[in-house]
Amino acid sequence: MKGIRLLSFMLLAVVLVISGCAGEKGTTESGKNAGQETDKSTGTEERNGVGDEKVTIRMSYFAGSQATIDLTNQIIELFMKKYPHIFVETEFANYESYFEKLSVQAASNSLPDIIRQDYAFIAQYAEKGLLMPLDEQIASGKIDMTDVHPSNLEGGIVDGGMYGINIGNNAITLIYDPASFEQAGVKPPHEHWTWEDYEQAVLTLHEQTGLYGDSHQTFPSFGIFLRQHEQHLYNEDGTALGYEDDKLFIDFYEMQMRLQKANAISSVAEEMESKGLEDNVFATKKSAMGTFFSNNMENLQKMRGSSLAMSMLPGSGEGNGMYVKPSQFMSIAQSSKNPEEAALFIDFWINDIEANKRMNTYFGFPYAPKVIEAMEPHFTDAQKKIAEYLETVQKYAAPIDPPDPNRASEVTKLLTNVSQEYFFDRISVQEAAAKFRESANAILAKNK
Amino acid sequence: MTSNIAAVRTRWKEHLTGYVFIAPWLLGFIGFALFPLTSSLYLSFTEYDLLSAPEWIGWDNYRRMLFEDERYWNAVRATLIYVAVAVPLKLLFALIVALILNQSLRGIAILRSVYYLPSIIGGSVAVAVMWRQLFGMDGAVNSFLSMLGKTTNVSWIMNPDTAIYTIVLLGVWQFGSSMLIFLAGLKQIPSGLYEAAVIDGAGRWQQFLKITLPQLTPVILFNLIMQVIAGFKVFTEGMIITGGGPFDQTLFYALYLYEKSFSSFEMGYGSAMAWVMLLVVALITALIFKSSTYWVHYETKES
Repeated sequence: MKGIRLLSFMLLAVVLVISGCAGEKGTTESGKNAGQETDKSTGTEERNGVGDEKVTIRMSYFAGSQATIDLTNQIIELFMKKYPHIFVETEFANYESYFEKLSVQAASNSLPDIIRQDYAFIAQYAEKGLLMPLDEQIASGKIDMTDVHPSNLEGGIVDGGMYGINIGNNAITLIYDPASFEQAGVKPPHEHWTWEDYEQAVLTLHEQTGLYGDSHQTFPSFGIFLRQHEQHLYNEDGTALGYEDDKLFIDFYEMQMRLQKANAISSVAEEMESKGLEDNVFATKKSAMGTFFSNNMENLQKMRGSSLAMSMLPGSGEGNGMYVKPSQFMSIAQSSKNPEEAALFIDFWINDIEANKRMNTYFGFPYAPKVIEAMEPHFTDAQKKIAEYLETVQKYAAPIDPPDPNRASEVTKLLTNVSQEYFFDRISVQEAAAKFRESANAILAKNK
Repeated sequence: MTSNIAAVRTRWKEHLTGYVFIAPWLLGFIGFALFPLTSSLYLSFTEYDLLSAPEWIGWDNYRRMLFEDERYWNAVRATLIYVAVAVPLKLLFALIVALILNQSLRGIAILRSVYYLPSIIGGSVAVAVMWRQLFGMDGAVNSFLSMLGKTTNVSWIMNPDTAIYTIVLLGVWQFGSSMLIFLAGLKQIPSGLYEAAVIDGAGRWQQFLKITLPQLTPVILFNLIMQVIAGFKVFTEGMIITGGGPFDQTLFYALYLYEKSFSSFEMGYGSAMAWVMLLVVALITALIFKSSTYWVHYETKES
């Protein structure tokens, strides 16, 4: 009897230990990457006699795919080779759970030294005093920004201080298939294309080719449309909508309704069914045009298997609408004990030529002139087009709107809902405009 | 005196042994149920975005929710439609299949497993993807319709009129667990009752109405309560198939709660929503229990 009891206890213990181990291993694999190979390489260099105490910095980022994780690890490896006295520990999660995790870390005062930030959240974090201003690091050259055009950095400015370094550029773009335009006999978009030209082109494209001319224009396009009329979606302190006249809303959405009624653009249902770039209406060759971020160019050319072209949104020739958008930011936590090393890392990410060659514009287009110069000879077809496009945008761009205020995600969700109600013929465009204004102001009023 | 103390001590020792034995459960309950529950009650009276400390705002969350938030009521509406349509349909379907599978046929065990299968895989991401393939614009349903000569390019999952019913259908399709419980209930009905009925000349339909259904009412009650509670918690299907769209037609309560808590980071508001849901579900369950005295038939009570 006693023997059996002992045995069962031992079994239980074994089970507990095994499951405990498995759990531990699971978390290391998914959440943390201490990087075994890198450990070895730095270990050998340490023996070569770097006297300093080894510093460990933590860096967190969001990753949508294994490719992002692998690439990030490669860059970190390069960094640790160059600076053997620093060890970089990484944590990652996908976009949604990343910010969930980050806010929990903020609540428990355990933010990593280097934080990957997004345009949607950076203002909130900066205003709560969780991020370190980086102006001094830039002035002293620790984060080297010589010769960098200021428009590349202004996205990271909150209330006059620099809280995040842009890790690569992006811009909204109309990507189109020149072959369809030729087939329909429509003149392709140019820098002084107007929205009237656009509407006519979409109609003709549909009539002549049987394809959709385009899809519905969504949230970022509406923001650009407002900017073209020297208005903004949000007011300066983020407590209400920034545009006064609902006519802008009405004009923008009525035009699309006309196109929808002519079947010249894809249906809302069709667009909602698509869950990613792969099954997007444009990627599947059902339409001749689509609005994307510029970094999608490479993939779209591959998916469609043909040469594509890029253009600014219509109406941008006056120089008010377009802007260059930072793809992501790197920030340093206010609570960081090693801001020097963290700054070194950010500088490396932006300016190191070998690292940027390895990244190969994956995280957005580089903007440090030295880096671009070194990379240019190796650009692919799509990268050349993106580089050229970003130059055009910079020529016509106005400064980017300040980072989104709190609750901006609720406002964009609202805009999606209201516009869908209109496109499904549930409410009139006037009602939609009024409803959006009223509800959005109610949401934003909480920021007062 | 000393014997008294000794008695208390032994009793305490006995109790302690008991507590030690249930300690794993007790610790789990305190750490993973009681503590989160009470803290969510506290948070529901605060504004809390995780980045700064919770700030006490009294009944504000509840007031905003009930009187100012249009989307909240969209969520309530979608959830009520789901519960009101999916639960009865699911129970009906489960009962019918259970009646069929209650026959003694060859290979019935395999059939039972097969019919239970959707319940195992039903809530998974893959099935949600499959549902999009079935009811999407280029989906199987539309292909089938066009074969019948009715060409349509309606997207059933994204059309505001039909979206919620495709999700209801997915819910009904996962009838397996209710079916198994019905099956167990059917097996419990004494066969003597049927034999007597046959002798008295009752037909199959009469047997069903007069014997099977009354005998099964306790099981129906159990299934009803379980399914109503599960119905109020519907989440995955809406999250993956429609994402709450088009314009909140399938924004289920749990989905909106999640959106508020984890993408707008309004933890206080989310907690308040959770507590209202808890109260409503508790109330409805209590009502169903109350009503059971009128329609549930217990063998023991009558005798």
